[in-house]
Amino acid sequence: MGERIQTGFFVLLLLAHLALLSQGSSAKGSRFEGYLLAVFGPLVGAVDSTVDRTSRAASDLRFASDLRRDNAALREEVEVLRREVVRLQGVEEELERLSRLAGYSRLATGDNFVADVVYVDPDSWLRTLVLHTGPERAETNQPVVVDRGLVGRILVSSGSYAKVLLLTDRSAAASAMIQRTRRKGIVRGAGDHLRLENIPALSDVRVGDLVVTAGLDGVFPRGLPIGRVTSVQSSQFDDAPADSLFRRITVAPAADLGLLDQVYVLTRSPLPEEVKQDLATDRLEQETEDPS
Amino acid sequence: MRFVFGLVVSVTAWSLAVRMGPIFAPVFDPLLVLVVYLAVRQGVAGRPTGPLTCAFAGSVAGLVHDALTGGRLGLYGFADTLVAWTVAKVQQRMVIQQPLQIGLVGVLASAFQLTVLAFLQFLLVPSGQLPTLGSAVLRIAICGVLLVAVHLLAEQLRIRYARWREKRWSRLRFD
Repeated sequence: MGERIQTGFFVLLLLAHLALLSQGSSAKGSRFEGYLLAVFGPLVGAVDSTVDRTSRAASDLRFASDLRRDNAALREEVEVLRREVVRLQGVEEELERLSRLAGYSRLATGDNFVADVVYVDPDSWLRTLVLHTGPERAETNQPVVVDRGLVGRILVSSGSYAKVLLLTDRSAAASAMIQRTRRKGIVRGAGDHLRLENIPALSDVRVGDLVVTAGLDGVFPRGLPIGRVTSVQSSQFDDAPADSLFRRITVAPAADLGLLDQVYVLTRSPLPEEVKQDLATDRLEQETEDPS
Repeated sequence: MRFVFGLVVSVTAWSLAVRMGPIFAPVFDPLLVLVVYLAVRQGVAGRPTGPLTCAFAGSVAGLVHDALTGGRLGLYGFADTLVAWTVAKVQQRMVIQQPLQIGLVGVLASAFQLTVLAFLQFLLVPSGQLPTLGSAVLRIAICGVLLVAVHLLAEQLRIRYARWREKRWSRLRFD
């Protein structure tokens, strides 16, 4: 092919491109662009999907190494916990033996079942929950706990659903004690925290002390963690009355009540029905004698 | 056939670069590298290619670039056609075989392509954005380096293929 003809073709090629350019985004140009995309689009798509798959495989590999590390850590933890279980079984057996020798009858620890949190009452802002208990039936006043500590008690139960009154509710209370000193008081809900009341002004209380249930209210068994002391105000220095005999103590709940997905309901009935009925009869008689 | 293979490899490389990050897209143009490489290598080893074939190859590569980048159709097509024709014409008049010379051709071709693109944008797409000076320099340098790399790789492959063929022939005996 002669050089002139070649140059002519070349100029034609350039003019064709200029024509395409001048068409801009017209239908013809778009159709041509569409053909090109139909040819090369799958290639770009294949590259994209390959890169995606590769990066996903890489992240899966990273995840697998994380899993291996977590698995190793959990295995170690299981070993430690198994040793702890063996030790506690020994302690339990020893306690049983000593209780028998001393003629002491311990309260049965009871059983528990898992329930899902299905509803949070927005009006009371995390102070009441609704549980789905499944085939199990919850009863009024049964304690509700999580692994970190006490959550509250069953307020109303209907079929496979139950309403829980959280310990932080202002109407909730439980007998409690400071674990370190065994000093007993009453824990009351105060919205987002708890107040420990009836602790004498001269008693030894420190920030960080663990507060557990005292088991004296007929609802909660003894020893369930309630929370830790976050502030202690002695009556002489704070806004409490100068002649106050009790300290003002604030407690942070041990269980994070904003993160509840599943809880345990303790099925042990804390007080026998006969005792409950006797107490109710006594209260009724007291009210009829003293109507004020 | 080799051009189609090169086109597929270039589009794949370009897609990978775009996926790696948005900063790679404006400074990395493997389609131009392909076009310049074909234009530089035309005529070597008796290939029946000339400036017009190179211009067609540049035209196709440019249109593919236009279609994939979503820019105005014909912009890269025009620029790459012009670059391919010019490089092929230069190759016919000069001996360009050393890696350094090929790299220099790549640098000049990329600069020429950018100039054509800027001129076309100025004339036809006034709202179009021109590349910054930094990205333009980087793009020119990357084109030169890539062209040298592709040339060296292709030479290595050619040498190995020739050795393999020699060995294959030496094993054959005609009694």
